[in-house]
Amino acid sequence: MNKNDIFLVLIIIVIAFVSLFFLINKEEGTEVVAYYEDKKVLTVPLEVDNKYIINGYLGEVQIEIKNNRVRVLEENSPRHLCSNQGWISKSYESIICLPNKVIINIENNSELDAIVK
Amino acid sequence: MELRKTTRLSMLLAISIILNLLENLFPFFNGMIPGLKLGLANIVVLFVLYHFSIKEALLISILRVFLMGFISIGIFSITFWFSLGGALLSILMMYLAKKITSLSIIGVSIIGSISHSFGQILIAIIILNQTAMLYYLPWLLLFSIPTGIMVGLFSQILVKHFENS
Repeated sequence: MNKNDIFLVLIIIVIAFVSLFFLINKEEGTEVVAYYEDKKVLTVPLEVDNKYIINGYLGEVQIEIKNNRVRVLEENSPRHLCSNQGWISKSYESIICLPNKVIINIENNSELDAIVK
Repeated sequence: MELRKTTRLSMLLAISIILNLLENLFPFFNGMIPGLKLGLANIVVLFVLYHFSIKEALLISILRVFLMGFISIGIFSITFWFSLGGALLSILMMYLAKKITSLSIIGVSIIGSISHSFGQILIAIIILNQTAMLYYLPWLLLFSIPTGIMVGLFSQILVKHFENS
């Protein structure tokens, strides 16, 4: 490792923290929005515990909402990355099932937030 | 291509596939951040880039992605395009880093690790038309430091070892 490598590492750390600061807003999300490709296929409140099924590219993707959190319960994908990811609850978090082309976001449904974002 | 080189490159290709398969079998960071991995196959790519040239590195990488497509991830599946996007962008960036900066092989390895993530996220944005995965970027950037250094150290040892052959 030379001086330039260490300089590179420092730049990366700075960029990572600055972008984290911008990406993470502390707003609590209010609704769960699921997308298939770029189409909204499901919009449900985060407060109501329930299970839903989304039709993904490789089959059904089952999601569960419980205690203001959401997770993917079952899906058909080679490595099950999105069901292994577990629960998400913050508005900047999302579960992305790439093989199924399904994205689950937590969003805030107030008009103002939509403009700010 | 002379026989000696062909044989070596074939063996290196086989090694990169084994490293790839091993990594998929034992996902180190499972459940933390999707897509996060050590990038062991990059040891081979870096070695080829330094020991041979970018042509051979591209050849090995593209063949690896296609063979992985046949073996496990599914040819022309979504994951396939991710792997291809990540692999191509990382080789290009590592080549440029090696050529125009004074970074050591470790710095070049970190560049490779970062651009692999970037390439994959770029493909995700193109395919899904969604920018949600940008949220993973800061974490991937941070993790690229230890994984990049580790991969770089291994490659450095290999390049030194085979310097005179």
